[in-house]
Amino acid sequence: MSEAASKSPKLHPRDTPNPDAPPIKVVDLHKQFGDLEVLKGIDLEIERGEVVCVIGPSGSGKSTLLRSINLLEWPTSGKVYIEGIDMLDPDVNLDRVRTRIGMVFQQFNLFPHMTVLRNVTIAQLKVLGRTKSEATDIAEAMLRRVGLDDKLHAYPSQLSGGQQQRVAIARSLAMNPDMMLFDEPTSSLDPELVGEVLEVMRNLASEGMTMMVVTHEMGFAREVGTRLIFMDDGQILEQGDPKEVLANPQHARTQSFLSKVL
Amino acid sequence: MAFSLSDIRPTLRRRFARGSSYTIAAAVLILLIIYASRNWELLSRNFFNAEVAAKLFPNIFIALGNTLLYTLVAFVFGTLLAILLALLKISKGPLRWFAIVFIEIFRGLPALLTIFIFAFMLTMAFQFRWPGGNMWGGVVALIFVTGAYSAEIVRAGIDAVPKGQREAARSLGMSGLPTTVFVILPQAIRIVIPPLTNEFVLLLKDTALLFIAGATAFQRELTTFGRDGLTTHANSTPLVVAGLLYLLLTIPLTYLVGMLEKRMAVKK
Repeated sequence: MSEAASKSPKLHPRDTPNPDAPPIKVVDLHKQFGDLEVLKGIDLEIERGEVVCVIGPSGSGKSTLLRSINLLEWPTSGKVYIEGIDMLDPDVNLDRVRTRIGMVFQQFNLFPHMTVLRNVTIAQLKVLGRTKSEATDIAEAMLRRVGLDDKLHAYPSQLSGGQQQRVAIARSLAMNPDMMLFDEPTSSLDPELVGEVLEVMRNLASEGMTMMVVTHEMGFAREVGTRLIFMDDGQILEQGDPKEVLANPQHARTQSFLSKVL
Repeated sequence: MAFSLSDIRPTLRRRFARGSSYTIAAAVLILLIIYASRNWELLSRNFFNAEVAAKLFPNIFIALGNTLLYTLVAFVFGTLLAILLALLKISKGPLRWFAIVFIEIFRGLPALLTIFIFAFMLTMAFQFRWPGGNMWGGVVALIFVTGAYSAEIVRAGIDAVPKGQREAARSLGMSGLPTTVFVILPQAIRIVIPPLTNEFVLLLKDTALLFIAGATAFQRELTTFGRDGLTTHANSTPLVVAGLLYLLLTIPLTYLVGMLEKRMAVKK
């Protein structure tokens, strides 16, 4: 990977990640869609290697929070720092920072007109400037990691939902991200396909990847998560050790939410 | 497999209704042919005259080739122009207005007038000659007309690509242009192949309007060739033969595109 890094253009100091800074830091984040206030002042700091699971009722703003971190949603006010880099500084090279933040979507969002291999190599080639053979080697390694190295030449439509999501994870991993964001990664999967995706995520967590996961999988949150955040109505109502929060929710709304989903 | 009478009845009824409408259509057609055949002698002399038809060959193949050449040139460059206009129109820059005005003008003007303006008015106003003659000025006019029409088609195709595709590309660090070129446009073009095929067929027939640009003998397309034949032989057969050749071009195209779509289904 070092040779790939050396090929990328020289970084301006403001674009240089600070290894001592927290991977993700969010300060007083607000987001409004028209009159609707979706995020009402979120403060959040995630340390390296943490696996933060975010739960909450639909419409609570958890996906918007996740999407604000790599600026797929532009905050109305507040600050987002990725490894110390101020994401809202107009001079920051956003595309460059985004390569270090992997993102996995509920709908997979694989590129349907490309083979699995092309899906996993395209951004390596066009963004990181890796050579074709480098990119292919890395793609094969990542696909092996998610157990799909036999599907290199298949198109997404020929794969099951679980396989597609695993390719999407491999596509993100191929960029060597420092952290991964998961936006309800198993919510559109048939129940019998959920396990294979969670398994891949569990392995990632055990390898020390910093992860933020919006999910409804309480079992995953309890076993793999290092922190559980409960959001409601655009705010973080409660957070802490997953086992603790799930067993002894402090807030009344956390209690009522958990009683419905557990 | 379970079935009941109530499942079958609607199908049968529909089949019967369709069958009877075919029968009626066939009967009407046969009656018309029988009626027209009383005038067959007159018709065959003026419209289906083998002697005149024979004289059209082989020169009509040059006209066929020209029709195809003008259509392909106008379609290829027109579609490229359409993609450019569509991207400008959905952009937020000031060029957006250029695209909007361009599309309104060339979609609103009759193609015949546009060809005339390009072939004669512009050359007079700016004192220049089109390389290859006025005919190519007319082809440029067709490029602009097709570009304006197809721009809206391509824009609709871009809108039809799911929002998540752009988000996935951007989250991988791809900037706007590579995202558009490698992720959005290939999908948008696949979506709009059926309406673009339609545009191709319309364009093929619109090349007939190039007659107004004044072709040299070797520049004539099918309709101009047919019209000249009409004058030369004082007989309408050349137009009928030209018409048949248009069908010879369009019908295989429809099948070709159908096959192409089937092959690309996996990439959707």
